[in-house]
Amino acid sequence: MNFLIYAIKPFQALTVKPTKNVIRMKKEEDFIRKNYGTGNPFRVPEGYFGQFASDLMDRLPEKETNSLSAIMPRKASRLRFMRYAIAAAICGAALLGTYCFRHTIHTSFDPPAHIAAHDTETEDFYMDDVLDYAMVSNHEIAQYLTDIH
Amino acid sequence: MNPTDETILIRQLTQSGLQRQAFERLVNLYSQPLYRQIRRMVYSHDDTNDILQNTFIKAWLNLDSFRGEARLSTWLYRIATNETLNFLQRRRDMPTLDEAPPSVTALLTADEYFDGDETELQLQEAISTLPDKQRIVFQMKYYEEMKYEEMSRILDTSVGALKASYHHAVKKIYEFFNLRD
Repeated sequence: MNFLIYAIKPFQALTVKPTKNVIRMKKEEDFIRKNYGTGNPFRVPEGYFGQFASDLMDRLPEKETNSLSAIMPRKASRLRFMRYAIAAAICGAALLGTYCFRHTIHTSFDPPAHIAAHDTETEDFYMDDVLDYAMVSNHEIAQYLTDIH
Repeated sequence: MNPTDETILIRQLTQSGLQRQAFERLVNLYSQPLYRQIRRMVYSHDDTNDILQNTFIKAWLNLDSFRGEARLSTWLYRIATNETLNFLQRRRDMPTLDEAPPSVTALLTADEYFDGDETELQLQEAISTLPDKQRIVFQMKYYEEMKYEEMSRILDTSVGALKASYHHAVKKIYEFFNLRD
């Protein structure tokens, strides 16, 4: 049993003893409490708190998005917009590229018949690739090329 | 409120279908303690009513920013305290025609919703001599018996600084009464 007392002894010094200031403060606090009390002298009008809650709830603005589930569609719509924007940019680049390519060929030289036939095949092959990539329908691109000519 | 109820309430506050209903419960739970805290700072019932409304409207609008790291009461007390301090600052900055603002005793005597006797009037007069932040600390500790750790989370001030602030407040009030006698 004695060994327990010896084991605790070093830790006894760690227990905080109230300082002079704390003791004085406690005395002053007790004086205030004893003489002036801690009551609540402030009243409210009859039925105030019940009325307050209902008035406040009527005044609260509607919230459009205030939960995770409500935020998700906004993110999705932003993603959809980005997808359309990228697709539109690719289409624009493809059409511009096609126009420049054709314009250069027609203005630089007039190839012989066998090369011209081969070129048309290459062009068609190239165009198919471009159209597949750009996700533009054959009809749309044909119309565009007709307009150019 | 016990931790389980608080967890349920927080969950309901994040669900759009239950949000308004849960918020009404929050208002019913905390309007009285918040009212007491604000009223002791600003004295007038009408001003307290305005500040309390602003507190809950701000809480409603910022519900998304509440992440459940603090307790709901801590979060609401923090909003209420900031609203109260801003109100007091605005009131001080407002130009008045009177040379000196009316004393707290004059204000409270004219207030139909003040039931205090002479000793309570004296105590309110003594408390009103403290700086705003020290007054808040004193009210929270003396009347609400709030723990320093909780006050520390609300006021974002260290426990040591709060203890020192409370000790100073008690000393000043004690001296106020001693000088009168």
